[in-house]
Amino acid sequence: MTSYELVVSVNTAIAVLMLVSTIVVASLIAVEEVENAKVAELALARFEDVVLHAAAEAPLVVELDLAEIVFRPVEVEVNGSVVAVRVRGLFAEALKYSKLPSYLTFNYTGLLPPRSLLHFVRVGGVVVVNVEGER
Amino acid sequence: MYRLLAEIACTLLLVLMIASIYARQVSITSLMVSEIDVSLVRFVSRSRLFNVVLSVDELWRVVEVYEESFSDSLSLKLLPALNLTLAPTPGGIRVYVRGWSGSVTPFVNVSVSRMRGCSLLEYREGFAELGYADLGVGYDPSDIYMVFACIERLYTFSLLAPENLVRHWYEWESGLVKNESRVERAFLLVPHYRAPVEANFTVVGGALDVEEEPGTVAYLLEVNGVCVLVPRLPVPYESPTLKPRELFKYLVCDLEGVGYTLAVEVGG
Repeated sequence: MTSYELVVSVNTAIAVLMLVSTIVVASLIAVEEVENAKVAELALARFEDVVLHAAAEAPLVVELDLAEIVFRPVEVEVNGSVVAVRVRGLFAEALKYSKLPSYLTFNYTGLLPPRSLLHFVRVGGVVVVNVEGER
Repeated sequence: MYRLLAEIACTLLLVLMIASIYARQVSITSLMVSEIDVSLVRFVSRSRLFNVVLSVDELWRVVEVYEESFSDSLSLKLLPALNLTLAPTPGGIRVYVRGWSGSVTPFVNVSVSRMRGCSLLEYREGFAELGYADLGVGYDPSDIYMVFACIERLYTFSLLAPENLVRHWYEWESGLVKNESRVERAFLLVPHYRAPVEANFTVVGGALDVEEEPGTVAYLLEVNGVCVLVPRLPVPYESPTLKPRELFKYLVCDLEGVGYTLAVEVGG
């Protein structure tokens, strides 16, 4: 093999590998994006399910562990009657949010602690949720 | 030798990359499928369909939540607990009592009130032993029929009326009957009673506040000499789209202490 052929074959190999790795990384990003979106949707649905069921039974105290909501680490942020779930990944992150029904509101703004106690209290026709971080 | 090792290494690298993509895709497959369940779970949570006894407001809220957020992804049906249908025969109408799966529901007490205008024309009651009862009530498609069925403590009803006599004037949020024309008299339809019951009402800002009896399922209003039917419950309700059944359950709609059993079907 001449040195010219060697250079050409090495360059070709590098180009092919770069092409393949670009496709691989792009696929991984796309797949992770989809996965995070699904996990966020699932976590939001399950969190809403827990909260709305508990609101129907108020007054009630619920011990909430975010690790039990979904199998991936998620961040749940609440602000009044808006809930947002964020899932962070290596390449992509997903954010899903929803507005709770008008009869339910959180007396809390910010990220929920990973483990917390949610106190559901009925005030008039509205259920207010007080959040207490578990020590 | 070095070239061979380099080729083997490159091949292994490629295989690993392809395997990693494949593994990632396999890992999200279950999540792709779970989307349907998420819609249903969210709908059930938000509409409070997890309860068994719902008030009139809560029943209307189910429809409102569905129409606001889930009409694209789910289908909804709100029906009487039993499929009550009338079939005209030479000897009068025959009342068929079936479950929604089509199976015969035996030993059901059935009564039919036939109303013309706001007054009772005929009333018959009987016993549907094997899925039907011949009650001998006459049939006229321009009349209003109230069919009432009960098995032990399960009460259900069906209102059959020509479309030109039905008005959707009931406002569930205020509990008033919205009406811009002059209402002369108001009657209540209570399936436990044979005939419509005349009711007192007051006019509140262009709407009627009717004094209901427990178990009132509809109003008969005399407007300019014509009697119209105003249902109080969103039953039957069928969404325009029909999807494979995901949830079927019975619930009780509580009307001031009188409960009527309804069937709800959600498809996704």
